[in-house]
Amino acid sequence: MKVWDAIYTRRSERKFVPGKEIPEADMEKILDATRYAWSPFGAPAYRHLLIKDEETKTLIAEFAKEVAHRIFGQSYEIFRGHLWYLPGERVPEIAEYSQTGELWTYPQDCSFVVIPLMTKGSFTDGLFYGIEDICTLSAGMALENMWLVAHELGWGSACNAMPLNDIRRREIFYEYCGIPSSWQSMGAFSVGHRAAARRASGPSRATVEGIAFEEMWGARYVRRGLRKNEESGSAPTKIPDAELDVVMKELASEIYKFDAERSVEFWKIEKMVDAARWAPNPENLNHWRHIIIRDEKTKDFIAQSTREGLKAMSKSVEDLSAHFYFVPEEDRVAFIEYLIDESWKFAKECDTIVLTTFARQWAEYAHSVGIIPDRIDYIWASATGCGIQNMRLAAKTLGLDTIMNIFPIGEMRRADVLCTMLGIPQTWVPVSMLHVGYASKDDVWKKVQRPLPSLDALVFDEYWGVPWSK
Amino acid sequence: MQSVLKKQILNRLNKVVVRKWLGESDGKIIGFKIRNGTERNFHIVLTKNGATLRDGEYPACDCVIVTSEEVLKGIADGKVAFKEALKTDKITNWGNLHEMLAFSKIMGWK
Repeated sequence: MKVWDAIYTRRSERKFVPGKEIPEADMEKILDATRYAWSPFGAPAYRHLLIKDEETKTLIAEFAKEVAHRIFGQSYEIFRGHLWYLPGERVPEIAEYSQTGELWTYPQDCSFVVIPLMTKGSFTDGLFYGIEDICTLSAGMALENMWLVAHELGWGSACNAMPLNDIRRREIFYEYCGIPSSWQSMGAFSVGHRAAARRASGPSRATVEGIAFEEMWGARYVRRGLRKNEESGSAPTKIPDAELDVVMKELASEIYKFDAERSVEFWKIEKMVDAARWAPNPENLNHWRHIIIRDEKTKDFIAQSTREGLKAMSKSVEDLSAHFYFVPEEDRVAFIEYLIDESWKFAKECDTIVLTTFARQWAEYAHSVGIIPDRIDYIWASATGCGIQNMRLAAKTLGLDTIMNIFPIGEMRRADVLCTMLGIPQTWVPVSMLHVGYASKDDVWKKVQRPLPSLDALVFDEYWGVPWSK
Repeated sequence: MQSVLKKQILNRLNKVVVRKWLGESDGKIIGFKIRNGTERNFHIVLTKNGATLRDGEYPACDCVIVTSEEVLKGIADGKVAFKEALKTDKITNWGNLHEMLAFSKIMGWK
């Protein structure tokens, strides 16, 4: 399947044929896709628990139904507002099976469930604090890869946070499956045989104008095609496309330097933002906003912030050496020196920066009124990760390269300054800074690539710590 | 053939109805992806100033109608039912279905 077909036709499919298994080879392909997601410092911040056991699936389904009923059942008026895109006469029917919780029992009928879990930043050995959201984002990227591959292979799939977003039910489930409490579950991703024909469309999304800003928070980005005096000829005859699995794997290769002389066509950035819109989105709340930054002064500020972050991180070569075990020993010191002294320049040599924020408090109900104790903000962060992965896939398909930069946003003082500068309200959290451009031909360190994690290290079989094997 | 079809679509766009549909938005962009072995793309840009039909593939459409020339022509001529084509996958939608349905209503597609 090609990238655009995958992104634009992926759906949440929530009715499965009970008892029908998905071939082992396809399950492996779906799980394998998680290996190619981005992670902070290259250390995968996520693990997956594979569930095929019928009793465990039933437990997940029951939890989902109970919690969905408690959340959605609270208020028809609120729930119907989330279905704004549906014709009025269809709303009561959809609301009913969502509000009773019946819709969410589908994990019991699927072939397998994957529980994505993330580490809340514990893998960064004190180099950073406050990157919990970024780790969640990374786990979301891995989830999106799985989802797209499941769709490519023709299987139905859906994810819902309900079974495990209530801390009491989560505790029971963790004990049942031996999951350590330092790992945060994101929900249950179910894959199976579709019981009904594929839906023609998923829920509608907000427009690009509704979710994207230009240079500053609040300055709406209006698509170029809608602006006065814009040359329509800027749109290409046909947008390049590529095979999904090829692009996904290519994304695992990092670059360190952009070609500062080469600018990116506007339509490519619009395509990236558009691809992000079509990521899975809890309750279709469009809880993400992107700021498209091209202003040189802002880029320079971000570059300086990146430089400062790198300096602060690198107390010594020895500290960092373990992180870069994959660099040949004879090159390691030079590589680390380059990272600290030179690499920050990518932040201003890129053409565009897409700064993505998500809303921590976005649902009108849930935890705020005691229905769901504990936080559920990870749901929004992980879904935003799905959007970022779409954006990165789009960029690669269009011949662009991207660098994820966490330095200006991963440390709260620098993030605070950046938010003040760009006018980002406190209720919105900067969670991804994607630098976009064309890779430089002088990127000497591109030859150094981190090995991919092995699948048995990432996926556990029914119980925490039991490596999954083919 | 294609240019006749394009003109037919453009002529059906009644300014008053379109204005009402646009509401307070900056406008809408409806893409067409015609797949007949090879692929051809065009898109309609609708703003309060009117509608323009442009060649090429717009990167961020409100919805994209993915179909064959034969099906699109049949719909435009009233020989093929739009909703039936959607149900039977003769048309695939990329983007917001509610926008595609609104557009089809304006076009008078059954």
